[in-house]
Amino acid sequence: MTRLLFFYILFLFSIPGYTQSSFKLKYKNSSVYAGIDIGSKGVKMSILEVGKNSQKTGTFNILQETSVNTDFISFTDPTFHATLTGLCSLYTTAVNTYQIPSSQVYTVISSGVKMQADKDDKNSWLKQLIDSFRICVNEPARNVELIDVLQEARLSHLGIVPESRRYTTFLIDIGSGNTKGGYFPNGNTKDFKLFQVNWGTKSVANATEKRLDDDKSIANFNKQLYRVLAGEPNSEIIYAVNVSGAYNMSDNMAVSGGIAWSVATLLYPELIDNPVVPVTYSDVVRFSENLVTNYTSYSDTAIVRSITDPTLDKNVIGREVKRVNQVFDQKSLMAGTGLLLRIMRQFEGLYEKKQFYLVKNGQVGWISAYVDQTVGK
Amino acid sequence: MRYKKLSFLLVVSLVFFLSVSLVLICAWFYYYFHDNKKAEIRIPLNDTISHQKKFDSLQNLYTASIGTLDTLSAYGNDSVRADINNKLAEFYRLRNEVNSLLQERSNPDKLETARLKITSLQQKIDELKARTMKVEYENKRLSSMLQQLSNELKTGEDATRRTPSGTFSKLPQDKPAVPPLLNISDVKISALSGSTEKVEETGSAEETERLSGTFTVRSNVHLSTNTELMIVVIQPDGRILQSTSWESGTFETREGKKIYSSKVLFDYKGEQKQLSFSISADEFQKGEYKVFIYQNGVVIGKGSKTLN
Repeated sequence: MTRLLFFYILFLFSIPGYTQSSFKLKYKNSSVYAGIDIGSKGVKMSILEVGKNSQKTGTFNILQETSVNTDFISFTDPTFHATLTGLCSLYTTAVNTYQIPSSQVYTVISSGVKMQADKDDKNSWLKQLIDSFRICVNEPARNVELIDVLQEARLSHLGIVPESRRYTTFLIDIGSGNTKGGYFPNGNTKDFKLFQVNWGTKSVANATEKRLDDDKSIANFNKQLYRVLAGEPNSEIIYAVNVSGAYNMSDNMAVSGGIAWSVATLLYPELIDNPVVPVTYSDVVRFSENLVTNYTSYSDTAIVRSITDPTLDKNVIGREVKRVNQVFDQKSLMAGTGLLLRIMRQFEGLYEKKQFYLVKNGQVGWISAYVDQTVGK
Repeated sequence: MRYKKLSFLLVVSLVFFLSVSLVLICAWFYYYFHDNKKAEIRIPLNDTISHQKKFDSLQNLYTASIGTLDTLSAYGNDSVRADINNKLAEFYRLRNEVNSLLQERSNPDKLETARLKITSLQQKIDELKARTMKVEYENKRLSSMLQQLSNELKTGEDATRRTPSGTFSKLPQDKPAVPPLLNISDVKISALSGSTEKVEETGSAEETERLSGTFTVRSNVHLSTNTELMIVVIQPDGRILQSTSWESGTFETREGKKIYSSKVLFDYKGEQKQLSFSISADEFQKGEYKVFIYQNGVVIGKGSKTLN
């Protein structure tokens, strides 16, 4: 099984014979980096193009993303071997197939894995994985960092938010099961204030589904969603925002995660090439209302029809909108947008207005942060 | 002395006796005539039955009228509630009177009074009904008027938003349509290279690190709030030049939604003012860069720069 997985990954990348030069680079004087992340579900590799001024502008472009689901956190021998094979294969592909220098390949074990290992007392398995990986790729000094929630949030912030806004931006990532993020309160990158809420897009949607009984209509889902969000999530969000002190210290609020990508794509298809999209609170409120009353207006055909700028590539826009609709159905969008609004509401003051941003590619922000740190040295 | 006392007592007794007699006689006369009157009104057995029936029918009529009122009293919006409340108060008074009359079934005198009062009650109910229906009609008429106005407004907005290609653009989101008030002059666009300490103007696309622009604004109208100008720089390939996603976005124009390259925010109090903008990029193309300055979705200034 493991050997099969190894050859499968090699086969995947051997045709049509990718090299770094095969990538369509967006920026001038850019470099290509790879980040391999061992997560709860499996191993993921992201190939990233980082612009010359990425620290200042926060510009990076995802060239390719590949993942292998190995269920590492079940901590069994088969899943261990599958994860090790996946990790070695992806590394080999990055270095040999894409010709990315090994110094530009970063490997981390994410916070979800560490938390589960702590819980199950399997930290030795993590050490064994790292040692086995070093042997496999013949790099005894290879650094595989074990990052916790705080470091993950900190790295994301460093990688996504440009230097000019670093100390005035509160960044959060809305995931499927939880929401986390934070900001730098003291004007340095060492001190990071963490923000955590145990609600995400999927958990809100699940809680709402449980309340539907026999009436599975959208109208009832919307009604129950309001009730779910007005309950525990709202209290947790208010508490977490107040405890963090983020409101007083931030001019900007940036949101990443799947729902941010979806809303940004559907709300501003004209900015399809922009990794970060500025929005207002009322934009997202209107979007939320339209999801219930006029969902068909967010289909790929409807959105493409509404594009008037002749310089925009309607095929690219249509493909991306279709991808959003494949990943998120109407109810998932409603749940995620509802949660997003609840969080944004805490920053939508009557007099003082914060600027909101939706970040489409936040999942690879950590790689950009490593790049910045390496380049900075 | 004793004789006087006795006389006095006698007189007092006599007066007392006479008073009591008088009272008794009066009472006797009263009851005598009263009984006679009752005897006159006494109805034979078959008349009693028809009288009872009349009362029953009045009772039914009264009950039916009250039933109608209960449904009516649920109506009445806030704006006419005072008027309806007055009418209702009057109605309740009548109702109570009729109720008490109908309870005195043994008194035929009350029959006619009850009938008259029930008629009056019914008239009051009809008035209330008519009033409520009028209010309902007015409400419906106003609602349909509002709906029509709303549709006309939407149609009007759609007509102005319709682009030359016939497609619609999305509604202007945050700002209402306000005519531009500024005059722009002396628009100058430069291509610059070098750091902020040592800036050099260039005409070469390869050497250019940022595009900079300056212009003068003036207006005859005093503006006391923040004014926002959108700068759109179109590259030789037709795409919009953007420095970074964090500083870009979209805005509404007469031609539809556009992406802006930069935003200029300033506080303008009526004086002539020089403003500037700067847009950096990784790479600049050879060819003409066209610059448009927008206020409230309308072009108020233009400029260009050609790079070799």
